[in-house]
Amino acid sequence: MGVDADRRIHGPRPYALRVLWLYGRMLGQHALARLSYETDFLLTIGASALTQVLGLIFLGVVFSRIPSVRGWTFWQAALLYGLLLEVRGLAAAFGEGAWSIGGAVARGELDRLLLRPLPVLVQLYGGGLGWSAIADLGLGAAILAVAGPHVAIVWSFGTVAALCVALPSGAMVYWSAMLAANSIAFWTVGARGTVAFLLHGVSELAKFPLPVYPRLLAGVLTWCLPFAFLSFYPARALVAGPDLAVWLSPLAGLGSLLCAWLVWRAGLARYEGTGS
Amino acid sequence: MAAIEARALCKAYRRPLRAPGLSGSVRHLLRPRHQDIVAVDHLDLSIEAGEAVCYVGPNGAGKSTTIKLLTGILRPTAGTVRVLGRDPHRQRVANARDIAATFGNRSQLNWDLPLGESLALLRDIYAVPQGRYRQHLRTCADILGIDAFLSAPVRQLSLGQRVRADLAAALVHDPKILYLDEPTVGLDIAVKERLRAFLRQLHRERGLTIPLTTHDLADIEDVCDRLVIIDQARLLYDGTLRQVRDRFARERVLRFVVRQPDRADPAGILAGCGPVRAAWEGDTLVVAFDRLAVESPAVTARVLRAMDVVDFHLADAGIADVVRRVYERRLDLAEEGGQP
Repeated sequence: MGVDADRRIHGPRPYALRVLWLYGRMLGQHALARLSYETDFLLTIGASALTQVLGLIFLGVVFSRIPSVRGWTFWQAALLYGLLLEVRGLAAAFGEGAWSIGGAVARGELDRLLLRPLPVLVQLYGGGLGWSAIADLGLGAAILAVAGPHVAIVWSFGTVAALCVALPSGAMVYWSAMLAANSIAFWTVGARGTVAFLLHGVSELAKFPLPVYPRLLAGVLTWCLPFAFLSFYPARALVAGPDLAVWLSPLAGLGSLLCAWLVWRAGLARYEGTGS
Repeated sequence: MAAIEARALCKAYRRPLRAPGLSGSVRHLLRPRHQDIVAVDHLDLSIEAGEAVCYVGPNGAGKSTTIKLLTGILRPTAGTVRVLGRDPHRQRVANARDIAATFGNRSQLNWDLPLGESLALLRDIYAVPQGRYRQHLRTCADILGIDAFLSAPVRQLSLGQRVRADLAAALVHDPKILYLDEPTVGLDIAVKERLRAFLRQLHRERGLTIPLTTHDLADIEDVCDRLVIIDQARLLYDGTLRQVRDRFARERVLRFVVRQPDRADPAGILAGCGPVRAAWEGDTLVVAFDRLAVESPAVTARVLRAMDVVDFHLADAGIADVVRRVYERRLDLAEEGGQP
């Protein structure tokens, strides 16, 4: 039989499409491998769900004392909370690769990725999914379902369009922040993920409406670390109708992406320049 | 044009200078001081397609750094590299399609995945046609015996299995150049033999270009036809194995065990053979000489005629001795003939 005549090649041929396909294929392999460690997998999701439930209880406690904070009712705040879990969960699910940068740099595993004819970032992000995000996404959906009917949402074509723009932009902001923060490992080599954990902590501020914070902090969360775009601006569009801020959210998303990419490039150049 | 061409290649690392302890760390944080460490110093190297070149030098001599420069992982500080006509660092992706590399003590495979899955992913990354891929699997099963552990996760493989798996993975896309960084480190003798046989076959039958670094001198004699010695970031020697033997490994030692030796000065017997050194060690007469300057049969004939010899032993200095002398800094290659 003509085995040598079998010139079949799996997957699409055009380069960009092929890279995307390979990314999906790597994620698929990773998922299969990860699911074979059932206990660890369930523990990860369980622990994450517990954390979020505790956060929700805290929110409830705050609003049981004070029925409305700076014009935001409990249900409006819950809506914002649910949006944050969805947006951040989405970014975390596909952003797990960033957390492996520190280890890859410290142990010199980046060498292996540099030897393959694929962009290094594609290989990093193809190497893992953020499983704990499943709990966030599930809980976020539940909160949105419960809180939605209690909030007078301004439904219009404009609101839907604004959400379509704002939610991916918010996810981009968080995804970029994690990439940039983890890329610092190229300089520190060893202090792994410290800055990224710090930034994740800062993103917790987005669980509450922006007006509860001092003006300076609110400014930082809009202009410097634009985590307000994760939840506050989309939620305000739902509650009060789309405004300028929500239409400008792609600027925050793309701007963050550009900054993160520059930090990553500089870090990688440093690695290639100095070695492991 | 040569497959690999390095010209005045340099690589310097910046290492932080830090006093020990907490106070040293704090002081370093406030006023960082660095030291430049030269890992590769003006290296000129040219490797033709189809050559198997062994790269030898003490730990820290710059071998691995050179491999990383040639594979495009690192950017040179100065100088140029051309691999198959490309700059391997700037044209990393294009270069990666034509080369492969294994690093002895570090696996290139995903620990969580079964070997078969990893190989299939590599097939897709390099767009290897299905027929050629199946043929590759058959070859690797026949020679490396990987079929026995294709379905096991890589983390469960023994070192010997893992090294074979790494080699199978490196060759999925039929590379033109295979870089091997200490391919046999930590392996048992049987696996080493198997690996070397496979490398020999790749080199001789497929014409694969193989630059390899090693500390195991049998790797050199079994696989390579050219030896490059570096030490302290500099090229010490570059030539064929035969040239190395004829230039630096010329000493031959003959030992004759003699019944009832008289221990007389053997100079008289050996007169006319040429420059030899002879001495008694107990009842053994030891004769050492340059094997290119003195004829062994002449020495042997004279000794046999003069004494009652009961046993006889011959030893030549090998590549191993040359390399050992380099490692111990006892061989000045420049003085003994220098570059060819």
